[in-house]
Amino acid sequence: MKTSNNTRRLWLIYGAFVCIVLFCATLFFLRLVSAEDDFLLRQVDRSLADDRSFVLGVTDLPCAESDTTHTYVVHGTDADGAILARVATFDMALFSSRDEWTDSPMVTWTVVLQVVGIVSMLAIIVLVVVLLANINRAIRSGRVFQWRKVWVFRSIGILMFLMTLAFDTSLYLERRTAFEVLQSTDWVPQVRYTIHFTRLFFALVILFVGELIHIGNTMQQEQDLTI
Amino acid sequence: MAIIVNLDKMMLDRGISLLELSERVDITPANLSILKTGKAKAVRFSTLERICQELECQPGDVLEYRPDETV
Repeated sequence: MKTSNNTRRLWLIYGAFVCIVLFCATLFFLRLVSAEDDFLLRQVDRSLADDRSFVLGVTDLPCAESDTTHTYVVHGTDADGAILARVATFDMALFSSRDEWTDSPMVTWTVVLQVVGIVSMLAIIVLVVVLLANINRAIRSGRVFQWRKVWVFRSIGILMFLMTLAFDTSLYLERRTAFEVLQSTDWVPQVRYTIHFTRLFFALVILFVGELIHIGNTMQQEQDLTI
Repeated sequence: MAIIVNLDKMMLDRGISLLELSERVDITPANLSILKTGKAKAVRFSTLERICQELECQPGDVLEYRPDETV
């Protein structure tokens, strides 16, 4: 009875996880939720009909310390009403036909790092699918600890570190480029290296789970070889 | 491992086959083979008791400690 309760719990958690993933994917493909790069994707579409190339796009650029503010007058019963709007972050799309930007090493490295990040992300997605298939098989066979799972968890953890490093470094280079482009304007962005600690923490958790499965597998093997 | 299992010697002395001993001791021939070839990591006392009962011997006749040897 205890074993079947455990199996039922595993199926429940596995089913809930699959449902959540499918629900989020459905919302995304039905365009009920939008990606943060929507603005940039629209600019890329526009650039296809333009002479200038789309060189670089950055979202959520934080403004420099001197805030950029705009004042709007409120029309209505209160004639003296006003709204003071502070712009904290902005999106930027750089179009240019100049070699200075299209051949810039910083822009090139940004693209390379983003490709590395995207490839890592795709590899993680493939490994997660493999893991889900393995969990399915493991629940049916009753053998939860397998060497293959250890390898998958370790790979996901390492790829997550690589992806975070690649994306965070490319973001820094984008901000540097944006700073150089915009330094004579009102919209000067901050240049700082942002580390996504949540992703790093998640990568550590995954590596830790991989080690737990490794220990569990060793114990299971010993149990199997106990006559 | 420094613990040597002399099960094959005892089985030869008593004239009993692997299949017969596995049926008497109530473990699978595969598991008994793992024990005989020294690949087992551990032996339960209950299994050792049944083996000694069927082979009419002491645990020391089946298990031997040689510190400098690895199997």
